[in-house]
Amino acid sequence: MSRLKMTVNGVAIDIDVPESRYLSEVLREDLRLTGTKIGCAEAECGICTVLVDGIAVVSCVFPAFKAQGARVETIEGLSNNGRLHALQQAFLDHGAVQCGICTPGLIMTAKGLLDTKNAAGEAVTENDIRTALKDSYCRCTGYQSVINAVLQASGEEVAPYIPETGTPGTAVGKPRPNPNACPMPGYFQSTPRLRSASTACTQC
Amino acid sequence: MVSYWKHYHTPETVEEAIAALRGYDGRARVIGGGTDLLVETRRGLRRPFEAIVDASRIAGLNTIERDPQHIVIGCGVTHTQIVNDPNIQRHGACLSESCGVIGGPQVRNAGTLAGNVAHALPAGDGSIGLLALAGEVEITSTAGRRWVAAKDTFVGPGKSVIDRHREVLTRLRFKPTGTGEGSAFHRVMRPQGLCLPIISMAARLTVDGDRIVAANVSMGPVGPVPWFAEPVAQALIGGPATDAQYEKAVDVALSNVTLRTSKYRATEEYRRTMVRTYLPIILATAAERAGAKR
Repeated sequence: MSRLKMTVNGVAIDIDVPESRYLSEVLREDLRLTGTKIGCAEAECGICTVLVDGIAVVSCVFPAFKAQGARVETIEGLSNNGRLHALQQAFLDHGAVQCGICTPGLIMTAKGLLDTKNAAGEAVTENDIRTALKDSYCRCTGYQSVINAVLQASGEEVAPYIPETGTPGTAVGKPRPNPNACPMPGYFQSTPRLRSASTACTQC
Repeated sequence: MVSYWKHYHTPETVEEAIAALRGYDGRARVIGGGTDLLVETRRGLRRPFEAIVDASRIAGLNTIERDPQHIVIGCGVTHTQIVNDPNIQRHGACLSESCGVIGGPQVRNAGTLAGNVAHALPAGDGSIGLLALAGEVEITSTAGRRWVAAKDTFVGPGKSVIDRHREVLTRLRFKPTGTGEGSAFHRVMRPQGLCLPIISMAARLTVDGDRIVAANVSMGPVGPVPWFAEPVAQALIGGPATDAQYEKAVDVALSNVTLRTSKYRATEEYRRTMVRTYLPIILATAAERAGAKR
């Protein structure tokens, strides 16, 4: 057991933990900040991303004592007195959250990007966002809504993305009439006309 | 929670780091970001060890500097720092490109080039980029510091010449490319899973008009260690910077390498095809960057 001192979401922490802890374990088990989720636990999926001194790292393979004296930011530190952070609000606006397990990682990775770009006085492009989120896996949203949300949080006006769906009222099992379908009664309406096949109806 | 190590040291000087290593007598491991070693340990590929000596916070060793002849990279420098460094982008393009494909952005924010080279994996991208630049590494022990060519530090898969009982890889350096010189890197990979390379290759060429006057080529995984492909370089030197010459280099490369079929990555045949496809492109890119006349 050793003293681990760091600032987590602006709060000075000084705890006695085994030196073998990973940062994700200290956050979740010792500090009970369970907003940081664990996915693959091998630095692959990006779900456990937190910021250490402003830099996005995967906390599942980041030894806790590597963060000795550092400033750690997790998803819990984003909202202020019940007011959501711009990224959180944008994720809601764009429907960029579904099951939600990857969301803390996506938001913290995005925050790392936006903070770095802001500090350097540079604009954030969609390409920057795609590059930064390259190894953050989300199996629900399809990413476009996530990218739009981050773009919005960076100050750009983005209309929420609505995926294309079928024509309303199209019931399963009742296909829309196919304009090329065989006109003979009894033939399934969507069957294409088979002009050459001898098995097709005589009129085709 | 499983413990994979018991003690964690964050030395601020090289002397402290070496003292810690000597104290553990081989039972400690040096890490930079730990993004390779700790993942392997966690997956059970390596046995747990007694202690970690974290070399990423040693004072003065987390910057990229220039000395009169070299670009010098401290052992605490992360891949992200290398990728963003304008000097390396211009004068060590293949290193910048190779460090830019390691892991994901969050891994590159923590992982170090020193760790990549010291870990000595046959397909270490950073190692392959550094090899093509004929890079050197500085190994520090109580006896002093010595510079060793990076190609001579690889002993076997995951085995480096660096003695974990008493030595630390402290810095890396290479001669920046200047007029008439250019370098390039490419890796073929499946963009899922652990993103391990199917084949990575890098080259540095010096041209005079349309002649190749000096060349370095590196490849991996093509054997137990990252390969500093001297026969391939020899096949290029003295010839013209043309596709026909690159084809000759490919033939030499393919007759010297051991390509394997691995279960989830690629077949031997596919790797062979990739060498044939991409080595000429890499060489042409390096020659173009060197300003070769076509």
